[in-house]
Amino acid sequence: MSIDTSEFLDVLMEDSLEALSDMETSLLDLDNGGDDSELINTIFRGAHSIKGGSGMLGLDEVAGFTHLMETLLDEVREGQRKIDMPVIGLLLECVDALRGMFAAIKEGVDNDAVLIASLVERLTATLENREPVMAAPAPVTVSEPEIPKPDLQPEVQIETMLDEPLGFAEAPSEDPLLDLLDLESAASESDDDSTMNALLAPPGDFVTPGWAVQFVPDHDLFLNGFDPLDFIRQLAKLGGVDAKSDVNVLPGLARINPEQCYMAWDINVVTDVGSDAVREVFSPVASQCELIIEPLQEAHANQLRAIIAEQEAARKEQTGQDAVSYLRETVLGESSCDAVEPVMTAEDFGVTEEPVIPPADNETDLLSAMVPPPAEDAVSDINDTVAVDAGELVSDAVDSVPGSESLSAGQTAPAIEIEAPEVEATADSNAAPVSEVPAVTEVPDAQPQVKPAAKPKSKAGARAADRKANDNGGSIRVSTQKIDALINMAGELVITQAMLAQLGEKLEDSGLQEIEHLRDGLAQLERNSRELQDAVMSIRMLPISFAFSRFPRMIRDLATKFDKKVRLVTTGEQTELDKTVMEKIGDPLVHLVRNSFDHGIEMPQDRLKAGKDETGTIELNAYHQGGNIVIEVIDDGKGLDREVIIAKAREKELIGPDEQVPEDKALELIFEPGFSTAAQVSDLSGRGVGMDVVRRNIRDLGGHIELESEQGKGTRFTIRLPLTLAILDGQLVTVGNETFIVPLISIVESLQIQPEHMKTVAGQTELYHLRDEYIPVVKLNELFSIKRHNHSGAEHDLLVVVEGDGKKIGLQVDDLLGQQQAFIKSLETNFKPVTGISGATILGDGTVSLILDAGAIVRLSSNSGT
Amino acid sequence: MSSSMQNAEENNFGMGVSVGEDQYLTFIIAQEEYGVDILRVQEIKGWSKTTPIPNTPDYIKGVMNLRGAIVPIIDLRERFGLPPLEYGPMTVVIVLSVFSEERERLMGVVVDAVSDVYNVKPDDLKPAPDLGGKLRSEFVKGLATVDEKLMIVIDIDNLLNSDELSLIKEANA
Repeated sequence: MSIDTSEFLDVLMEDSLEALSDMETSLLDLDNGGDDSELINTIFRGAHSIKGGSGMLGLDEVAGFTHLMETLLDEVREGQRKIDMPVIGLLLECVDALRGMFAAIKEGVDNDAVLIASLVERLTATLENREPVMAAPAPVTVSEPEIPKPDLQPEVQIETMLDEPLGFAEAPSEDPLLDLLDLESAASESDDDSTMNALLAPPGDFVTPGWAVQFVPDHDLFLNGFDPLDFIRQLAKLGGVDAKSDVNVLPGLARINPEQCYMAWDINVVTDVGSDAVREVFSPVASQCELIIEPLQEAHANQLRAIIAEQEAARKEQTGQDAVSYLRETVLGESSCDAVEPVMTAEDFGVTEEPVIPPADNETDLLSAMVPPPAEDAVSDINDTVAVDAGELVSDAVDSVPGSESLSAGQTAPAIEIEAPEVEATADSNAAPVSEVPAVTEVPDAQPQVKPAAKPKSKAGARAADRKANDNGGSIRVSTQKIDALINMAGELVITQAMLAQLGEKLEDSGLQEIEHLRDGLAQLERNSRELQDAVMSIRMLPISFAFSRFPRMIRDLATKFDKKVRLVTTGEQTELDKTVMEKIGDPLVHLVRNSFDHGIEMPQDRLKAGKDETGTIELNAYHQGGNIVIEVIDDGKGLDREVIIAKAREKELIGPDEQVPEDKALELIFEPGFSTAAQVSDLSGRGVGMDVVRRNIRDLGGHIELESEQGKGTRFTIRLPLTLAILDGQLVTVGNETFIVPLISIVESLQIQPEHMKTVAGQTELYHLRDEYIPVVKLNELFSIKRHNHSGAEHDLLVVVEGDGKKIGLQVDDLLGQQQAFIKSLETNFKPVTGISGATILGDGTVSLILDAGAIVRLSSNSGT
Repeated sequence: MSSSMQNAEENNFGMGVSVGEDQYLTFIIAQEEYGVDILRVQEIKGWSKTTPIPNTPDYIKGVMNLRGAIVPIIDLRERFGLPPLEYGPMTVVIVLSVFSEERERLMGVVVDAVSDVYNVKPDDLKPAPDLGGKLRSEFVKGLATVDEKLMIVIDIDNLLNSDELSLIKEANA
C-alpha cells in the first residue's frame, strides 16, 4: 500500500520554507534578547514539523539533519543548555543549509554534502560538548538514520533514530483494520490470524457459524431517530453477539457535535440464520450506513461463543450499561495482556499536554489510543464520561499530528501511510515530552483538519490541480476573509443586476416614472462593482513584510562580519502592495539597505567619537499615501558628502570639469550610471550594480525615489510606488478630439495657463514661468500631431505639470476631464510599443484611450530640444 | 484565439471544401479582388471610431476595442498607396490574426467591401510576376483565376508587418 508522495512534496516544501522563515525570525529575535521560552518553542516546532514532514516523504537526509537540530533545541528547551551566540549562529547556518537541501530536492540535484557533513559534525560536537572535528567529519549517514517510509515497518527506524530506546515500541500493524482486529482478538483471546481470516478471508463453501458485521452508520444517524444500540440488541436476538466499537473518527471535545454519530462497529454474531436475516436487522438504516456482512470462521466462532457466554453474564450484571462501557472492559482486559500497540497509537497522537502517562490512567489512555487520525467513518454511542476523557486527550493530539492536513487531504485508503508520521510523533514525545504543535498553521481549504476523509479522491485531485497551477505562475495564499468578502460582493452584484432587470420590465409597462429607481439601482450597481473590483485587486495584495523579512538576517550577518553594531527597525510591515510590485522591489530594497549599512553606518568607535550611540539604526518604513505606497530606508549614519560626490562625478566624467552642480542636485548624482562612492569595492556594494539600477527598477514600476541626506546625521531614501501594476489612477485630459490619460502619480499640479508667463527661448522652445521655476512646455497636439478644430487659443489651455525622470515639464492640453481608475492594457499585445505612450485602457463608452508615459515624454521633449 | 481558429477550421469542413483545396476570403479594394487565407479571419465587423496612435503612418487608423483587446486598424487602401475613401456605415473591417515575432497578433484591415469565399487548389496558385509599383511582390503570395476573375492572394504576415516591423526597429534604435 504505497502512495505517491510527490504530490505532497510541494506542500511540504511550502510549509517547510515557511517554518524555516519562522525559525530564522525567532533565532534573530533570540539574538536580540527576545523572550526565550516562547521563541525556542517556535524554533523547536519548526524543526520538528520539518522533520516530521520530510520523514514522512522519505527525505531521510533532511529528517536526520533536523533531528539533530531538534535534539539540540530540546536541550535548550529543557534548560540543559544555554542558547548563546555560537549556538544561534550554528542554528542559523543550519536553517540556511536546510533551505539549500530543499532547493536541491526541488531542482533534483545533490546536496552540498561537505557543508552538511560539517554542520552535522558541529551539531554533534555541540551536543556532546566537545570541539568539532572538522578534519574528519562524521559521515552524514551515521547521524541520519533512515526515516520510516510509508511502506516500511517503522519501528526499526525509530530505534535507531532516538538516542534512548523506546520503552514500548513494538511493531505496529500494517493496516488499521488489523488494529481493530487486534483489539478484537485480544478481547476474544484468540490469535490475530484467525480473527483476520475471519474478516478478510473470502466466503468459503462451508456453512458459516455466524457473521462478521461491519456497521458504519452515517453521521446524522441520530438525527433520524435511530439508536445504534438498538441494532446490536436486535442482532443479539439472533445469537451471541460480540460488538466492538470503532472510534477512529471521534473528534476532539472542542469539535464534537453531540448530535452526530462518529463511530462504527464491528459485530460478530454467532448464529445459524442467513446473512439476509442479519441484513434485515439493519434495513431501517440501509440507506444511512455502510454494511459489510461476511461469514465468521468456525474456529473463531467457537472461541467467540465461550467469551460471549461470559460476556452475556457480565452484561446481565450491568443492566443498562451500554456498548462503550463494555468496550472499556474489553480494552482493559486487553491492556493487561498486551498493551503495547494501543499505547503506541496513543503516543502517535502526541498526547502532548501529558508528558508522562500515569499508569493509573490506563483505561483512558487506551481509549484515546483507539482514536487514530482521520480514517474511516466510524460511529459509536460512546458513554459520555468516556467521551470526555478521550476527547480531552485527543482534541489536541489529533491537531498535532504532523502532516495531518496533507494526510487527510490525500488519503484514499487510511492505511499505513498514517503510520510514518505517527511513529515520528511517538519518537518525539518520547524524546521530548513537552508540548509540540507542528506547523499546520494555515489550512488552505477552510475545512477542519480532522474530518473524516469523506471525498478523499476529489480532494487529492484538487491538490494535484493546485500543484499544476503552482507550476505556472506561482501561487498566493489568500486569507479566507478576503474570499468571503468577494463572494458576498458578487452576490450583491447579482441581486442589483436582478433588480435592474426587473425595473427594465416595469419601465416598459409604466413609462418613465420609474426612472428614479433606475438611477438608484445604477448607483448601487456602481458601488458594488467598485467594491468587487477593490476586493479582487486585494487578492493580489500582500503585506510588505514579505519583502522586509529578509533584512533582519541580512543585517545580523553583515554586522557580525564587519563588526558594526546595527539595529534594524521596521514599521508598517502590514502595508499591502501588489505581489508583482513586491517581487520587483525586493532587489532595489536590498541594495538600499546594503548601501545604508556599508556607506551609511560608521564603525562603533567612529560613532562614539561623533557623539552618537555606538549602535547604528537602519529604519525601514512603509505606509500608504494617496494611492501609492511609500517605502523609506533611513539610516543615522554619516550621511552623504556633497563635495565628495561632486568630485567623484567629475572624476567619472559624469559632469564636466567646470560644471556647477546645485546643492540639491548633487545628491541625485549617485543615481547616475557608473557612480560609486565606496573608497574600496567591498564585499557588499560597489560590484557594478549601482544606484542607477535601483532607480531604473523603481521607475520601471512607475514609481520614483527621492534622497535626503544630512552630513553626519544620516540618509533617507523615499520610494514611492503604485500599489499595483494592473490599474492606475489617471487624469483624463483632452487634446483636440482625443482623450488621454495622465497617471496621477506623475502629476505635480495642473493650472490655467497665464499667457504672460509663457516665455519663448530661441523663438522655439517655450518655457512656463511657474513661481521661481521655468518649466519646458510640451504641446501635446504638436507632439502627437493632433489637429485641433475650433481651438480657442492658448489662453484657454491648461497646463498639466508632470514629473518624469526627475524632470518637470508642462503638458499643454485643451481640457481636464475627470479622474478615473484605468485598467492598463498593453499596446504591444497586438501592436508595438509607441514612444510616449505606456499603454491603453478602455473608457466607459467602450472607446480606447491612450495612457501617457510622463518619463518618455520628458525624454522626447529634451531630445527634440537639442 | 486558437478556439476561434478551430471554429474556422470546422466551418471549413462544414462548407464542404474538398481535400487539397484552400479557402480564401476575398475583398475588394479599388475594383480589384484580394484574397486572404480564411483560417486567418477572426471576424468581420463594421467600422467604428478608432483612437489614433500618435506618430504612426496615416494608413494606421488607430486602435479599436475588440471585446477588451486593443486591436490596431490598418487601411489597406492607404497601405497600397491609393487615395482614401470616406468611411461610412458600409465600411468593413476584417479582423485577421497575423503572425509576427513568433506570436499571434490581431489586426483589423479596412477594405472597400467583402466579396466572396473561393476554394483554390494550391497548384492553381501561380507565383506573382514582378509587379513593380506600390504592391511589392513579396506581399503577394500568388495569383489565382477564379471564374475568369483574378484573385490576388496577399501574404498578410508580410504585408502588415513589413512597415510596422521597421518602425519597431526605428523605435528601438
